[in-house]
Amino acid sequence: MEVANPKYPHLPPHREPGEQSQARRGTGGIGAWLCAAVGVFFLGCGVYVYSARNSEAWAGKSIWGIEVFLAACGVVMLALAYWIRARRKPLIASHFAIEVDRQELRRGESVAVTLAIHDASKVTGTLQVGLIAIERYDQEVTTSTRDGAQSTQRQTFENPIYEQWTPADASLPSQPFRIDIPADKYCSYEGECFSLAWRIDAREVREHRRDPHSHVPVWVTP
Amino acid sequence: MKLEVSLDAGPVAPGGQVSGSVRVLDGGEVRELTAQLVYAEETADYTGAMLRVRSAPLATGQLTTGQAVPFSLTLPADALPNQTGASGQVVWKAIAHADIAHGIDANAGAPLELTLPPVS
Repeated sequence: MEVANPKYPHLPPHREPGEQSQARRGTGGIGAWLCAAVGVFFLGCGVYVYSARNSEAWAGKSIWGIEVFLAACGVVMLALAYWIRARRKPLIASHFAIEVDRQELRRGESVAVTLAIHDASKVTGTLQVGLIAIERYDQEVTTSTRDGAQSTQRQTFENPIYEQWTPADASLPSQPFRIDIPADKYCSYEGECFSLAWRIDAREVREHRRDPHSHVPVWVTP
Repeated sequence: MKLEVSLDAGPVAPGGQVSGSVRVLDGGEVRELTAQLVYAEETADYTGAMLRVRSAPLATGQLTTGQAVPFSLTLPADALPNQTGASGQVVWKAIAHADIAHGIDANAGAPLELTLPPVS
């Protein structure tokens, strides 16, 4: 069963995105593309040098060091591009998942949540189930180049503004929870430059590693 | 031209009437004067609005200084509360807009209190 809008994972299915969500003003997107482009450029140079190694101009010269250097730079830049993109996305858990009984709720109501652990042997951290409200806001970001030129971009940032976590037992294959939506907190909203989103989340808190998550978006009305 | 918006009553329930008046502080000729209820978004750098309830034109032509133009608009029945986050907010406002033919349009606004308690 589909639990999120396929294009907009912070929204339940059938909920329409606002202009801010549709604009997808990401953070770090340009950096990732730049790194990938530079990586491909280095690898291309490496391939060119390799293919030209027997040409008259380089006959008798050892150029393997240049080839290795270019290939290494290319790989490092592509890895950096992958890392920049990966750190922006939550690490999706494969060994546990949560389910909710409904995704459209009023403030003050409660939702039945089930945490299913598919493979307890993979749980190395502390499991928690929680309720999170996120604000998404647009901000101007100014970047400067070495020659002093400045460019301004509109980017969307997000920030948790409410979170409540409950510990879960990793030894149980299925564990029920009941989570209350606070009666005095935010309602879901999709806007042009400011939005509010809720989700039910399960996470495995691990030291020195990214925390795997399983989450289901919910839509909260007054 | 300068305008000021004042609202008649206190907090309004979703689906309720918002009535008030647009006071002309500095008169002039307008193409039209309108009022609207806006669920206005604000961050440090940007503003926006996805929900607007517009009035029909309240007045056209010459507006004199001291004139008060009444308006009444219905707040949507599914109106959300005023909500303030850490880096932005979305709140209801009553806004008056004067469309001026050869000059800068004039705007004025007043925050709207709802019976739904504000969230922060």
